[in-house]
Amino acid sequence: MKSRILLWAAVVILSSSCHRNSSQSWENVKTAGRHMQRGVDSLWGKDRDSRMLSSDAEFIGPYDEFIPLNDADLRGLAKNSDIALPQPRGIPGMDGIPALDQFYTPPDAWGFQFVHFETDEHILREKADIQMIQQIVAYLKKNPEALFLIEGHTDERASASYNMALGIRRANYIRQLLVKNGVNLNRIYTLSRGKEQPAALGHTPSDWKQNRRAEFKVFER
Amino acid sequence: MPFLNLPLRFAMLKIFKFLFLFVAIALHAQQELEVRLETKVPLKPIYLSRLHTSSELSDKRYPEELRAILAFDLANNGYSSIVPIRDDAEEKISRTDSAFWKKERIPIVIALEAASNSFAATVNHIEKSAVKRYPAITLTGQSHIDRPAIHKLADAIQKDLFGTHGIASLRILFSQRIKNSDSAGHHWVSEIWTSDWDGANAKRQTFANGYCMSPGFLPLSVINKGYFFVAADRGQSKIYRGSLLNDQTDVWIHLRGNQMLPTLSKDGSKIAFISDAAGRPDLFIQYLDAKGKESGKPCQLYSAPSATQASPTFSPDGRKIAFVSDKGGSPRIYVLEIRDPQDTKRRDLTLLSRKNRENTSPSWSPDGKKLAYSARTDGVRQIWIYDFSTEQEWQLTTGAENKENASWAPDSLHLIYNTETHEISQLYMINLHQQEAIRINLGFGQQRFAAWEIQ
Repeated sequence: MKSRILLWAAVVILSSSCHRNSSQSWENVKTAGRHMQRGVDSLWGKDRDSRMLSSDAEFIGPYDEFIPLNDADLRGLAKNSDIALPQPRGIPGMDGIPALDQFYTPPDAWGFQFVHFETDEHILREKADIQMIQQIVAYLKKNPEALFLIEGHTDERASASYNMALGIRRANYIRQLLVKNGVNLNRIYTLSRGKEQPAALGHTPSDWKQNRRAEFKVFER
Repeated sequence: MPFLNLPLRFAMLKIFKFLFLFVAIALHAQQELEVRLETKVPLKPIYLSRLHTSSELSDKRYPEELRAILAFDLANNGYSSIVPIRDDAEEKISRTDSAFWKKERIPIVIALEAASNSFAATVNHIEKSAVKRYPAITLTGQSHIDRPAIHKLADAIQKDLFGTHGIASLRILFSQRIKNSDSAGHHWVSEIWTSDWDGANAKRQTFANGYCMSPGFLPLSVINKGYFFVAADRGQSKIYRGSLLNDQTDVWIHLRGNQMLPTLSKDGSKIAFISDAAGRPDLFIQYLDAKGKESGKPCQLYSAPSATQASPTFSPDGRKIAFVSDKGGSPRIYVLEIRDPQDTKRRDLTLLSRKNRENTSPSWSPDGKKLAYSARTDGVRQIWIYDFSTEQEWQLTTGAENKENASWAPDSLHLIYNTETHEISQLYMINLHQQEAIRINLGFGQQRFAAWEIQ
């Protein structure tokens, strides 16, 4: 009797751990889709943006403004899914770089929507959000002179100071996605608004979800 | 229980055993969660007399206002308390009846006199049989001159009575967030303000009509009346510095990307901040020369994949930095030894806050003995103190409002912090001896990120 119970328990545990939810299935579909897209692009000679690079310096240029840490897990681009991509040089509003307040919200006709995050997370999980990133990539590839600004926002629940840092984390993650999809990193700026500029003014879980977002602005020369 | 059969009785016994064990474990866990509060330090009672005025003074309202300021300062310095005024005590003031004051257990008596243009105090230390008359303050009738003079008098009295430097004459910096009246910009704007420690003489310092926050004072050696802050008026967040004597500000730290949450070492030789120059919210440090200019390149001090770093604070000797990182899951406070700029190997961190799991905005006390931080406690962010000598953490504040951004005064006794619940943010002051939060009344808007003037 006892061994039978143990057997059933093992079956239940194994079956539950093997169960795939819709999110995992979607992740697999996305990965397969990316591979297929790359194959198709290669056939048509559109693989210039994702060519293999030989060193960090070739990819991001030398660090000449600050002394970076030199640890393997921070610099090993091939091994790391969380790639650190240096910001564009210079200060916006100076030295010929447009001030970021000259960037504007894309017209509704472009269909650029905010993307949203889970609590205290910086990665995108929703299918619609991933599709939005693809839409932005397509726009930036079609308009190679356009500059792009990503604003990271948070909900109101954590402290103001931590939220400022989390906002910048989110903005840089979106930037990373765009660069991974072939957009030149020197065209993309980031900014954190923390919890300082909420989109929804209420204090419910629904309001918090609306506020955990990234917004986008563009500047066309 | 004769009606129960033996197996059932046995099962019930097991259930009782289990319940007993569960209750015992729960009680033990509850005991572990109990927070030890520091013992409040007894305060010396001071009798502050009524205002004795000359016959020429017809309107006593202004000198009475100044008396109230002195009373506030002495009641909140962390060393003394003010005894309520009594008619029988007033009669003894002029005759300096020591026996009366000893019987009443009041060791210090301060007699106040005011004329149309002067305000004077005489301190009688009953225990030491010593009397000191302080130079009379010449009154101008202008709040921004007379109030600071009263605060200086309070600090001088504190120094003589207790041998400690008072902080009543120090100014505070803070950011004030208000709704933007200009519909073209963002919904909220934030500017930097200064005020006296009691909230009076508030003055706006920045006019960016943008978003300024996280201010701090510069040491006198760098700029007289200098301060720094973060602004995003060109878009990205940059660290600026300016002078309280004029409206001019300029970019202080020149580095690509965003820079935020800056903190300056006590001697002004280095500034630490969070920057995404390398693509993540990393901890950076910039060395400064004697004039506060950038010396060499900024150094990336700490970074970790998929982690957010925030809110650095220097130890007073400038050799360590405490900061927030969520590298272990939830935001916690870690300490890092500052390396040589040429040493680019990342150093290991020491976890400081072990009792609480969601910790933010640490502030190292100027005496180096304590660290204040904000921690979520039973669903509310409260101010906690980590004591380096005992390695213990204890809860300083209570109440339903979230509290954060604690900042130590130079005396390592007083803290200023802001509440943050929905759209209400107000500044409060508290000291470790009294542990009673006092609201600093600054009127409209949300006041946050307060910092004390450097002594």
